[in-house]
Amino acid sequence: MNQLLTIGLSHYLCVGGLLFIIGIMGICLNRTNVILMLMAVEVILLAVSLNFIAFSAFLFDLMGQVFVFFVLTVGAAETAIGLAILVAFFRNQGTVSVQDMEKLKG
Amino acid sequence: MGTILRDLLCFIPELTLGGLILIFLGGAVFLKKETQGSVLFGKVMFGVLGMVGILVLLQNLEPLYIFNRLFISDTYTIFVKVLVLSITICIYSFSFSSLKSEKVIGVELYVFILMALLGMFMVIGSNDFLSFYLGMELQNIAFYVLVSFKKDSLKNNEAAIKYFILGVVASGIFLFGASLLYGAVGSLNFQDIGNVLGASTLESSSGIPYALFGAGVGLLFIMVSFLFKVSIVPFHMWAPDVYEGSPLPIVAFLAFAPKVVILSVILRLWALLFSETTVFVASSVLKVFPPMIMGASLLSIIVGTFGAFGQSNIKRFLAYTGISHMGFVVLGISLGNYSGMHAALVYLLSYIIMGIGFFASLGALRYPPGFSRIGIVKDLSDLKGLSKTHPGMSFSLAILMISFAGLPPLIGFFSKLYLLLSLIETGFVGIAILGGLSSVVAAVYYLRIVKDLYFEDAEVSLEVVTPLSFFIPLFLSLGGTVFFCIYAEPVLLYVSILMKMLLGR
Amino acid sequence: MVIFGMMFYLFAGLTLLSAFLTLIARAPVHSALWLIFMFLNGAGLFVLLGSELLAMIFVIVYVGAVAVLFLFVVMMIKPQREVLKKEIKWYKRIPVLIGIFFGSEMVFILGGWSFVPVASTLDQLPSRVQISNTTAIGNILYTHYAVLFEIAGFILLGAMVGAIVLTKRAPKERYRQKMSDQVLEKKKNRIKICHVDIRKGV
Repeated sequence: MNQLLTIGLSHYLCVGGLLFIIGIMGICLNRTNVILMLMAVEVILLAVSLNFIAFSAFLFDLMGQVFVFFVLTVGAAETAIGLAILVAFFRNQGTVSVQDMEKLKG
Repeated sequence: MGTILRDLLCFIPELTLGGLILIFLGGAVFLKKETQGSVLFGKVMFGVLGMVGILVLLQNLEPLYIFNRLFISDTYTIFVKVLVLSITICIYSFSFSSLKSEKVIGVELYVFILMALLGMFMVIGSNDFLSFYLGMELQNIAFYVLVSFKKDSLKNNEAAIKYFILGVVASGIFLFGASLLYGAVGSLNFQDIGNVLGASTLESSSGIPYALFGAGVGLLFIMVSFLFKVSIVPFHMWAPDVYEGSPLPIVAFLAFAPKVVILSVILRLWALLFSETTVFVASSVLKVFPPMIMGASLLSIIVGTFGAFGQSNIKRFLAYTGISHMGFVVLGISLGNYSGMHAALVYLLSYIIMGIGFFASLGALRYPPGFSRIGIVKDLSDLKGLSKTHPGMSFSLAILMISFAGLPPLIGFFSKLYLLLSLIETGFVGIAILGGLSSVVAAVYYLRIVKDLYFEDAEVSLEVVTPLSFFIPLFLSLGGTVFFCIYAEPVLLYVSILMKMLLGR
Repeated sequence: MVIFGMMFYLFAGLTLLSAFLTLIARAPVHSALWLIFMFLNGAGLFVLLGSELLAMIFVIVYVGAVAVLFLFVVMMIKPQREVLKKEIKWYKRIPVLIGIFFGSEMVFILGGWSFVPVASTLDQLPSRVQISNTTAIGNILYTHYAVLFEIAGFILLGAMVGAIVLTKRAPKERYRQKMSDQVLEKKKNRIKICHVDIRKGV
């Protein structure tokens, strides 16, 4: 019990890895809504941030935390662009459903 | 203080680009009419791009690590920067008027072209995965906006969403790989990674060194995201859809510039980590990389070749042929030796030279007024019988097609020959035969276009627009295509110098 | 130590749970709310790892800006609760199995992580020994990584301009008083005199 409650690096890495898988699966399996895909991307970014911070804490090195700082910035910027593209799509199409995206066959 | 000054001097092209972005954005406020402003800015852009080119050429050729080893500046980065800049100038010069015909124009367009260029310069000069990531994201964001610029068209919106989702997922995968690599190595600097992974002490520890395994998994994720960007086969699905949905000039920009940039980074990393001169090629985990990448590139040659067969839409056709050509380039890189990388870079150069000519001539062909479709030519069957009305244009198209098909006296033949010879030299005779066979198959549909141009009756008489800016890139490309066999020596010599420098010989 | 361990399991479990619920919730508004909850728990994990600054920034940027942006867009475009139009084929479910496989593999790989022996000696950056996390990050962010900080600024600029460009609608015809037109208007342009015959209409 005591050993289970001593938290090491690998505990954090497992959480990060599982979050990453959840995010990727969310994108692959999503059949309904484009907004959910963007949310899945945010899940991936959280997984990556968690990994970086865990490594940074256990390596006693600040570079990982600086990387997370930039990931945060870029993540916010990408979300803004993505939602803007989505709004432009919505104005023409009327829905944001994945099922309605069939103009381009491939 | 001295080092900061030196670093800033090395960074002058990037600083200039950044300043120009701000000036363009600020200047747009003071212009009365949007159309007038965009025409003015469109003309200023030529001067701007030329000036940045001169600044790049004035850089010091000595290898220098700048800004605390975050960036690097040497002959190779300057070469790739000049390459990307000349691609941009060529594509810009023919896209300027065709963008007007596709109703995609606005001052912001120029801002985003400059921004993409700034991002690409950062990526080329990066010496650390952090600076690489930021440069790549700057470039990506500019391209997301450029791809979705024609926001009234439903097709374009859909292409934009697909491009965005796949781009974001690719950068997510890259980030995850970078985090694992950071965890294993403790640094994301390219040199540090090379030194740590190459250290012989790792081999001495018993069994598979576990940290090395982690670093291998991290590098695998990073490589997957790179393959996404250059559209190698398991990750190629986005290319045809995005190409079909976006305006042709932007497709031309998208098809060359970002791929060249990513390929240049792949070359640098590959020379650092997997080349025959590095110590640890034989070490357990990283050994699986070269065959894996080789298999993916071979698959993409085959899929690209056969995918292009049934296509009627020109842009989808271009996407599939692009997949197969990128497969050839990555095949050369995956060999990891001097001759393979040399051949890969020569192949990339030849693909760019031919491709720019093809895009420029397509951009000049328009549907006549009163026809049911408007704008730039869209279907391959519309090219039928072009020789009767426009013999010059169809002759140049035919030359480019013959070169793409890889028939002897032209550049396409020599670049393929180099690549296949380097494969045979390294001992992969079977792969060389497969590559040769698939390029024979590809020759069928390239030559079918030549047949359409000359021996078919026209269904629609296309118009050719003739501003000078179309013909300069076309003539440059044709000149390169035809005269490469006569005057190839300096190019080959320069490429070999670059490769020797990268491989540290 | 025990309390930290229990807090880790609490935050980690809630993060994973809410990430899962984000992606399977039926209504997009619920997804956005679960996303917010996930970010809060993730920030909790960051605090446990000793990086307070990033935890706070995470809450401010993601909960305060990004998730609210999501909520805003969800409200604006009102996505319906969707009914699947097509039956989902059995082979479309294969990715789930692959995902479970990769997930377990990931746990296996990451569970026994070890560093390269020289890893912690690389990159002579000031590590957090005596100073607080915020001071340490501030010290290197504005010196060692100053250039990248500027590039991040350009990325945000690009995102801002891009979002405006993509969502801006072309301005419609504006109705504005034009003095010169009013003065120059002639009677014959505006008034049409019709001689209407009786019982025939115009």
